[in-house]
Amino acid sequence: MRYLIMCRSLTYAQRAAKILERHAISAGVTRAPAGLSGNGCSYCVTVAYGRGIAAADILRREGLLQGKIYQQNTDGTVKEVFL
Amino acid sequence: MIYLDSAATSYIKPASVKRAMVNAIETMSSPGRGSYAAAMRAADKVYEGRELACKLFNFSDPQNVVFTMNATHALNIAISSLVSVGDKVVISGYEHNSVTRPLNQIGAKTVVAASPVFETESVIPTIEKNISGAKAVVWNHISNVFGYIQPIYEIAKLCSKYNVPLIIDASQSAGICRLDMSELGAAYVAMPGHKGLLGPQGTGILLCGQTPKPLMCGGTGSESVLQSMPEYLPDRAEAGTHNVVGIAGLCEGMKYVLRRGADNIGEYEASLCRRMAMRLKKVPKLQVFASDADNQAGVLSIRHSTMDSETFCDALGRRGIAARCGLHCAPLAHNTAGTIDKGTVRLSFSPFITQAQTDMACRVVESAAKQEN
Repeated sequence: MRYLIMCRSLTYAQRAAKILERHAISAGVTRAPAGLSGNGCSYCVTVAYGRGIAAADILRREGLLQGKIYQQNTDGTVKEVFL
Repeated sequence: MIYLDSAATSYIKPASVKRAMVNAIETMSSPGRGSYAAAMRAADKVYEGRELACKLFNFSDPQNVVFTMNATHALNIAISSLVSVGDKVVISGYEHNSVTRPLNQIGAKTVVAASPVFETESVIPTIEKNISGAKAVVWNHISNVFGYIQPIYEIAKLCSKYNVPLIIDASQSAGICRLDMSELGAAYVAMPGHKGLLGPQGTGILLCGQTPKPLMCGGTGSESVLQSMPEYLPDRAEAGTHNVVGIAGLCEGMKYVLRRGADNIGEYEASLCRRMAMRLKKVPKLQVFASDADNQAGVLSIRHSTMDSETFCDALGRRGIAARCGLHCAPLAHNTAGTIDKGTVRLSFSPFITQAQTDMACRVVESAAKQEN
């Protein structure tokens, strides 16, 4: 299980991931799953289930929390969450 | 060959530039097109370039670092974002065609705030006399013809005082002197990747203090459903596939500059320039455009009293000196300095030129000046 933090562009996702890494939160960048990307083709930051709240707090402080956050389950299903 | 044409292109580059480009060809595809390893390696490399530019230019927003084809491309984005037909735009007397042609194409009312070469004290009063009602100021940090370093921080303060956006052409200054985006507060700073930043040809950077209008439209790998360009940077200004191979090389060039220090590189090049100027001033029939003040970078223009600059430059080329002659795509600069009739021969330095090579080049110039008489 992990969180997907939606970003409006690849560069924003990369910046968000770098900032999280600086705060010792392991973060990846990947394309957003189909159905979550709104206007098509977007990226998200992935963080482990246990680090979601901390990650959201950091990105909020940095002004980089622009999109929705989803919880992605091990079977691939997603649901929006509010952290 | 002694390469003294670095104001055009840095021909000699750190060895890591080539290695990085080969690695990029072999291992990277295109950013923003997928999550597979080769695409993500490319994405990471492009992002690394944005972060390096931020570090080098004390800029806080990697997403506002736009990669372009060259400085001309960057200047076109900046100018077309701020200037419309009939707008008053104040420019220096040393602008390159990459500034004057876009302004002419747009139909701007261009006001040249010209002041004599190397006369720093007259720059601010001249701008202040002309700035009222201007839609933008476009200013060359270092003249590509004379190496004249303009007081860009004072100019930025003046623009800020009058609330006029400033576009800085940093084509000759990026990588050879301190350019602090946070302190400058410029609307845009445009630069090539292939000169002082020591990257490959086909690369450039636009540092955006504002969000520009798109100059080109196309794929960005984001918001693909929409038929307008994204509103946010860098996607808004980066249509089409990135020059990942070039950016990989540029990253290594920027790392070299960061390691050695832009100010140190600039001072080194300027010292070679002073060394050459001092010697060439003694050569009969040579006019040497050298500053007595500390406002000349490693770019030296010379001309012969009886020989046109093309002939003189050819003579140098035959003797193994790579230099550039003519108007250097900057007729305005030559008009301002009174050298439009014959142009000049320009000798420009790089961090890889030695004092011995500089002395050798001096001997060649002396010899060519005498023998062609």
